[in-house]
Amino acid sequence: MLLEVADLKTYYKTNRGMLKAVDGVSFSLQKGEILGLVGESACGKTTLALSIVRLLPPAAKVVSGKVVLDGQDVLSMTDDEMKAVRWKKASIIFQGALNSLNPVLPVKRQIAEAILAHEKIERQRVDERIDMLFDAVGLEPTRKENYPHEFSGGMKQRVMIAMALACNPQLVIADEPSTALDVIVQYQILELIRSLRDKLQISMVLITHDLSVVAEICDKIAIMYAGKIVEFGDIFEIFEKPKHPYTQALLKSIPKMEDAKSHLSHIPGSIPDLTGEVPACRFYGRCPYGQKICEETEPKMEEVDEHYVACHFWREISK
Amino acid sequence: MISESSTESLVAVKDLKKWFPVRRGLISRGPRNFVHAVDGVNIEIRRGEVLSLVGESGCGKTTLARLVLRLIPPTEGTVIFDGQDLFSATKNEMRKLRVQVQAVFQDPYASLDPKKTILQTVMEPLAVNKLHENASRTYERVYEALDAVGLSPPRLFVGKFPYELSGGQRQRVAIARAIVINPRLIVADEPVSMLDVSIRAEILNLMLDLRRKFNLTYLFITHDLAVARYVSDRMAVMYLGKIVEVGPAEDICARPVHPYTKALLSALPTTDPRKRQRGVGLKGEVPNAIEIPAGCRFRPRCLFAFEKCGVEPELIKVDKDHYAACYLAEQAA
Repeated sequence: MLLEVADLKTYYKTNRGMLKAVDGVSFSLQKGEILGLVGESACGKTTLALSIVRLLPPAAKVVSGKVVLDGQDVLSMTDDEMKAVRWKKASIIFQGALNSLNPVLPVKRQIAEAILAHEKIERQRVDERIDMLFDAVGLEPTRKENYPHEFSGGMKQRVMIAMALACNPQLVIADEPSTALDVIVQYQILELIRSLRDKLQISMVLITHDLSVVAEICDKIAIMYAGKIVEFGDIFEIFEKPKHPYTQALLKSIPKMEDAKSHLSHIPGSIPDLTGEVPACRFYGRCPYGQKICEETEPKMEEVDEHYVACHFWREISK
Repeated sequence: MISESSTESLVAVKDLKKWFPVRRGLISRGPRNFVHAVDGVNIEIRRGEVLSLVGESGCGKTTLARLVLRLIPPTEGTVIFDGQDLFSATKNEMRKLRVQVQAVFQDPYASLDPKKTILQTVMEPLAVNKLHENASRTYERVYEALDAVGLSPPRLFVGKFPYELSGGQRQRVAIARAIVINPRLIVADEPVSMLDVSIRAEILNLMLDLRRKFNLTYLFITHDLAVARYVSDRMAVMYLGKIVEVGPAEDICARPVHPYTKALLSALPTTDPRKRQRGVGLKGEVPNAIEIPAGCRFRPRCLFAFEKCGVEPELIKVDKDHYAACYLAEQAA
């Protein structure tokens, strides 16, 4: 087990009260696995990722729960101890990372900075390492002297991936790594991620709202809704036998190239305001199967053959 | 030929070119360079159809849309709207043409004025085009438009500001603003690509409903072929300023002819994890549009290029209503 998250709760302090962005999330990740974390905007995906590497903004706080990374309890570490974990054991590629490179420095300097901040290593070795990294992500090593504006979007994303790999982490969290990219470049980046996993045996958490990206490269999938994981399991299981009504609705809302053209359905309504009162099952209100019990009692996570689902009626509706 | 304007065509784009000069330093010499954003496009948009325009970033699809909207003048060629030349129309003719074409843009967070209420936003086209009859009729039209896009009851929305709405609701407002003056053509530039996947279906279905209700014609620009296939009757694939393949959407997706279309389709992520793709794809990225490769512009990235490709291919008919600009198409035909 490389990563284990247990009953994690992260709340934001806002003017309107506590915003329960992540509210009791548990999942685990094996070495070499790619997990797709899927959900709509504002369902808590990014907060969950930031909680794992402890990079939350000041207004947010982990209230309870556990994050165990490679046997170490991340949440009880001191800041110095955490610094040794971040980048070396777990790194993160932020959403919109394409624009987060410093425009007035050559990319080489920026990657070197990341390496030198976390490792004691000679200057010359740093250069060699950058060459290796560029090679691994499919960039010409000579390009390291270039400035960010000299790269295209896809190449910048490669630079960001190289940077995330700079200190040989076991876990890489990527927040919407291919969302801003064109189809063909997206394909190239997904292919790169796939080959890096095969070569380096790194584990990944891939955050996205796009189920087709998940279908393309993930081994496992966690469906998140309003701060909770509602379904979790093997990719084939969930795509072929989705048990939660939210997952079923999501799958029906994406246009498919494989099948004959059919009418797309959408999920009416929107995610509830997480600062206020929410129904016990948070999908109640948008769920076509919702009943009184859903409003009053929170559904527990149930397991059938390593397929986890939190719904009172999953047996009835997945028949 | 497809460039012929027939009775069924609402818009005919003829030999359209738009070159942007590249800004240079003060004292640089030598020939001026141009970005060939749109470089000789012939296409028609038929009455009542959804024509989707697909291609990667930088292929010129937005420039083409801006030309059809008459937001920029062309370098060469023209756009005929319902028999009238958009770029030689008199002021008076133009006033009549303007109200027939409206736009919906990509980013509903940026395309709505944050300081205007929904009422002010949606009634603006009426004011700009001097279609105000009287106040009560204006309100009525705004309410009808909001109702039509599913923001009902409208009275709950008219007083709101954009920040109070979700992304999907904002895009609905942008659509209401477009339909309030009863246009015939809507140019939609990536209207769903900023939205969550779960909301996309909702907006696409709405746009299709509105077409039926109001007899609309759409030019729908997107980089997502799955979305294009879902909404459109015909599809045009654009590469480096030119249309390389055009035809019925289902046909193109099922039997693509141009190697670029094939590559785009094969790069599309699957929705079935058992059908993961390996290989094919396409190397490199779209070259810049300043130095267009000689001959077929796709040649440097094409897996099938041969000598003949040194001369630029024209669109060739490959099937009923289906054209491709590739010498391989001759064999396919």
